[in-house]
Amino acid sequence: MTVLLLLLLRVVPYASQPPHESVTICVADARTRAPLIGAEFTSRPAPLSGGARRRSAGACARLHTVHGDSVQVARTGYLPRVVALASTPRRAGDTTWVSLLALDATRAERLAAVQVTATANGVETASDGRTAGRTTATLQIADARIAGASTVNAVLALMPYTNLRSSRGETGLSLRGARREQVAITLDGMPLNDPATGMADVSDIPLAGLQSVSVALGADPVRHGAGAAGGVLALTTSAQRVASVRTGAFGQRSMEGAWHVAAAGALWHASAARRDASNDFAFVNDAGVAPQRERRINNDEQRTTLSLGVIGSRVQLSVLGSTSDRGMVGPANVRSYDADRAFTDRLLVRVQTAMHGTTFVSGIRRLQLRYVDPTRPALDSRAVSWAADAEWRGAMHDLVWRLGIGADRLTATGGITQRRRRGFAGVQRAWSARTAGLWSIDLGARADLVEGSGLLPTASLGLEHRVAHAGEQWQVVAFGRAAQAVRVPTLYDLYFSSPQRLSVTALLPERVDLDVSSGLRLFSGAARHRASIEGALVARNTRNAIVWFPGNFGWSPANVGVERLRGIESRAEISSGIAHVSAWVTAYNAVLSTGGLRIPTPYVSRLSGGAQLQLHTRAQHATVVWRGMGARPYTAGPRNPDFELAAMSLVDITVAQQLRALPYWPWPRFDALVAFSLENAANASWQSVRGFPSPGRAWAMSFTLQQSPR
Amino acid sequence: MIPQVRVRTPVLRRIAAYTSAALLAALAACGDDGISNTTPQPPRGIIVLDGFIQPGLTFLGDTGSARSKLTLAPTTEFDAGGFTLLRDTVLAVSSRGAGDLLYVTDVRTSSTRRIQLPARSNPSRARLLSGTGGQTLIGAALRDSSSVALVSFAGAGIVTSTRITNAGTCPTDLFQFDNATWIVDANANCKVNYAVQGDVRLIRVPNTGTTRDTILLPGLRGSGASALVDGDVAYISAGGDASFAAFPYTLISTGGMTKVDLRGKRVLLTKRMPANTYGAGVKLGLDGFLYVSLYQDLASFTNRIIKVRPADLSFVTSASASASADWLVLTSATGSAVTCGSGQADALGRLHCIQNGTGSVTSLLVFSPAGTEVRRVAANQGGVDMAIRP
Repeated sequence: MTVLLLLLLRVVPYASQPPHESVTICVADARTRAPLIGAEFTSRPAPLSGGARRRSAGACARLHTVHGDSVQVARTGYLPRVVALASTPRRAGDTTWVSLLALDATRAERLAAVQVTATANGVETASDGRTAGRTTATLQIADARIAGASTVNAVLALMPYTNLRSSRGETGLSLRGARREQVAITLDGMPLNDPATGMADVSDIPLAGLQSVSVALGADPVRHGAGAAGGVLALTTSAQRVASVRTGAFGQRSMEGAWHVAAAGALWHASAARRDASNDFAFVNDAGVAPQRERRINNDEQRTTLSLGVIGSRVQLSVLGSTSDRGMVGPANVRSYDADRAFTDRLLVRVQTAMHGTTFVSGIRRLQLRYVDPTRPALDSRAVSWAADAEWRGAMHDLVWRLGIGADRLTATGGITQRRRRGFAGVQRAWSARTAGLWSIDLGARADLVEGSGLLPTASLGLEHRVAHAGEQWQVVAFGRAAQAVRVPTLYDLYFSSPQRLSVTALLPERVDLDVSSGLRLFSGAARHRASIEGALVARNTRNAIVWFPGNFGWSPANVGVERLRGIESRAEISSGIAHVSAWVTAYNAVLSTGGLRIPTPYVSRLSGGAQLQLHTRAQHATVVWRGMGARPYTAGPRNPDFELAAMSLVDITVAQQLRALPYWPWPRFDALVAFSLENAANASWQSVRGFPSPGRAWAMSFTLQQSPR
Repeated sequence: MIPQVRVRTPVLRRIAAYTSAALLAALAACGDDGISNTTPQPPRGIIVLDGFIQPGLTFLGDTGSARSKLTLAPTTEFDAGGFTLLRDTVLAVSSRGAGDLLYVTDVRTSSTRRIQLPARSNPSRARLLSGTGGQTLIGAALRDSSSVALVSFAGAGIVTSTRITNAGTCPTDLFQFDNATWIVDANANCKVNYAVQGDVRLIRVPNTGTTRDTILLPGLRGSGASALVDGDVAYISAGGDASFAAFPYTLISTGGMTKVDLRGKRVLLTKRMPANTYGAGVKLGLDGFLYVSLYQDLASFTNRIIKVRPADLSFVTSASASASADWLVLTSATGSAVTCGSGQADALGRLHCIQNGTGSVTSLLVFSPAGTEVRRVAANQGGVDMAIRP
């Protein structure tokens, strides 16, 4: 838990030290630890500098206070909270973190919540951080920029336990050996997964509009419902004033920006990004009779994204739109479709309101895919999917309840129309010891009713127990979790299992009968010197796993008997002074059993890992990131080295300089960061998806200008 | 010839009769040997083409469950284009969607050689041919190039290739007969969407001279036309014409089979497949019958196999079949219905076919001449075709 909190608190790295009489207050969700933007601060009794009320743009606000002040922190969807600043011990430059409880917080959660104090350079231990027995990790976007990341894809590559799968520009994420459509991706709690494909393309989200990224491993049926079998990637939005440009190898050019303003009693924020890349990199094509060096063509990409948000006292509105145009170059050995292109448009709208102590959230998602073949117009196609959701949630004593309804619709070339209605009801209850941090239990149940799939009940149980500690210097926490999950076939699955294929069987929902993890987490130290290590054993049994079997005529998804995954997940982290070292490793054995065959799950590596070395001074940052994956099968057949992608090892190196630290920096209200990255520095040849080569060594340079918090 | 012997005494007459009988029997036996193998023999083995997941060939024996796998494409994709077995050589191709490659496999040595065919040529089917000097050639029908590639091997590792151009709208198969190369033109827009443009044609390209003959095969339609040659007769089959633009799919015309007199260059017979069926492809059974594998309809895509008499292309129906069922009624040992595809009978009249189950797990099924399942053996995954080694 501390590890998460430490990562969480390592924010605002290039903010200047505040004046002695000011205090920085940051706001986070008490459950998820995700930073919250748009909170409103009201001083009691003395007025805040600039007025009695102030709405924060980012997750943090710097307030000018006098001794004895208290501040009420309020935000849409959360219980207001009064913070007595005098009672919070702090030194110059301290940051006070305030955890806000959602409106549906239980009585136990309300009793357990405490505020957290942190310094700009380090952290103190939080006592209320619970992960419900899950393995989680959070990364602040500001830290990711220092490490050279300028796209969401690059941010995810920095995250532990993640495996990215990308072939034609879109990026999917695998957690705990799950398929891409088994990972739920949310933006401020809004699901981004499309009902047609089951996947979400994180490339669509402008980095300038994000505050943090979190991954949580394992099934989470109660909070995220159908689809969260492998884990959850949670993105949170930010409101900041930032502009960034980036250029790099293979014609990569991107620019993005974000802005916000407080008006009419609300915080208005917007971000936009534009990215172009030719991606015409050289590679060795080994798919023909003899390997030969070629250059990837028609692999270009243009993508524009825009996000808007309004956070008011009672209503929060979020809009995300994106459009992309990219070449659909095929596998390395196929040239016939080189001229084909794909156009993708997405629109997401979400509204959240508070009503009588409960929260009502509604949203729509629209995805349009167009495929254009200039040489064969008869093959042009277009598909449009819609999803509408409404959720009502609240708390009754210690019981959190959720009710929701939704509908999906798909229309596609060829007169294809599919519709599906769905609904759910869920309850969750948490218990915790009176002694903060000693133990906590989280129990939940949910039932989804999906048209065509019937009633799908799931449940989860998480627990944590502090088994040993020495004050706040070190702690050992044991954690465990057991959960179920369900994933109904996507409309895409259903379409391709239609009778146009040989396999006519209608697909059944994929069911995770049990996803179990158990382990230990040890952390010690505080502030500038700290260390943590965690390890967990995991096991997952999935019934009727929906697996795509490649090929030509029989290419269709199928319900495979049973998929069993067994593995180990571990991570370690040490920070001392200017150095920060972290490493993670996962070992999975995922096997499908069907028809007497034992088939290793495609694209699940037996061994994966990553490591980071970060060196920080006040103004200079150097980061070395290593990621590796063992051999992994690319067919859904018996284990056979001939049908495995080779192991890969990638090293990225980034150096960054904060210009504000320079003596001649002319704009003290702005932070500026220049970063130079060498990606795949060893020029390794590798493939994420069979037949789709990835770039070799590449360089990139970025410049980011950000207005400092006042 | 029967020897004529005149004998006057009964004893001698009797001896002569016995002697004659013995001689007749001996001659009859010698005659059998001369015709060779009229006694049906079980096959040497069965080869299943795994067309996807892990492309390769699965070798099975006539009995037992032992199997071995030969990987066809260790480092590239393969989409199971035209699978042919002649003697101990298996030919297969990858289409434009999988790299335009030709795979030549020597079954005896379990060795495979990949040969790059012209890019974007979209090969359909390859056949073993003989060059003018008697050397072995491989012909491959190139659908998107309206041509046929003739690949020859000159020394170790050296591959040369020539082309027969203007080989129809969409050449899908070829064979040699009487100093000429015969090309099956599916007459479809294979470059774009395989839409049928008209009836299938047979184009005769002589080895010498420039005069070509084109034989129209009336009523035979389908983008996957193929040929089977038996003596001086060819059986051209095509799967039919259907529209897959909207669901439910629309059948425009069923598949069929046309019997062609190659010497007379004329159509002898045409047989349409049963109503609603689609995707007919024909194999010559070792029992002398033709076996057509097709889908029962465009709704269920149920595999069916029809047994055909070569002489008049009439269907051989199962004894227990209802009057409306033209296909063989295949049952398990317990009497339940079984369906499978890519059927071919061995010399004993036992139908062999393949069936893909959950996860595309493939089984080879063998049925008695009465249509009862007598053998089921695992054959790896992704099976798309099979052939019996005589």
